[in-house]
Amino acid sequence: MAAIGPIALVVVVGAGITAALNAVSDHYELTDKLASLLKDAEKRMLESIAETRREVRRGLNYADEDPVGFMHSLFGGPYFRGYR
Amino acid sequence: MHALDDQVETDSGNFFKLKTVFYISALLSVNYIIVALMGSALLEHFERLQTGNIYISVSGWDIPALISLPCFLALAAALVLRLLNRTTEKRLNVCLKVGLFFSLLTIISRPIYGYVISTKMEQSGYSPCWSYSSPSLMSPTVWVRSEAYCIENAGKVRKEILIWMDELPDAGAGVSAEAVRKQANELLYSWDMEDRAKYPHLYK
Repeated sequence: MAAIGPIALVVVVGAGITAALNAVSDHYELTDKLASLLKDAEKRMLESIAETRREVRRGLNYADEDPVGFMHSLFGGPYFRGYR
Repeated sequence: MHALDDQVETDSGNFFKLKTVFYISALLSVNYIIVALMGSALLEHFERLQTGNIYISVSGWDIPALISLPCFLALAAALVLRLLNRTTEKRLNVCLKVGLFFSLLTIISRPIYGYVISTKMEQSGYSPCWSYSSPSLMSPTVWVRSEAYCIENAGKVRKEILIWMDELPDAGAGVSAEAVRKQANELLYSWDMEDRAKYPHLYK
């Protein structure tokens, strides 16, 4: 009894919390709201994709010119002038 | 000795009190949600079963959840005793025993209740409709009076269909399956048009 007591309590409390949170999410239609948020985010991403491409191109150009400096700015690793 | 030190350390301090108050309020709000949302759904279920409504949403979790209420209350009571520094071993044991008893009762009653409720619904002539039920975990299943009322792939507009069914006269007595199918197709078409107008980039 001492061994299964905590397990039974954890199971029931977890199930109760799951049921309550799901009832709340069903009641307020949170999944529909999340879906429309994701659709909006996709729309915004598609609108700004050209800008993102430009940024990536700029970063890669920088990497071609100065690989060590690029790695340094990416990871913030130590930068020794002598090994350049 | 270590346990005693921990006890002394955790029993005082505002952070401990704050944490305990948070746990108590979480347990009590679970109680409230179970009574308010699941309890009202259970009452609606019985009412619809009596009038023979066109659809009934049935949860296998509502009565077991109501049985589990004393368990949550006992745990909250144990935390309140701890907060007020009035914990004795006897009181704590009583709280834990009550919680344990009702939690075991809940675990045992869930499969039995699920079996009983589905048998009862089948005997009343209803059949489960998955495309009208919410896909989220532990959510109620929608049972329709005739299998023909259940339209495949109508999940996008399931709420609208259920609202339309609610508005039917005489709890949907004498509605043909064709009418339900027609309404579902109309709702699906208007949903599609709305979504296309709202998010044109998704339908290129």
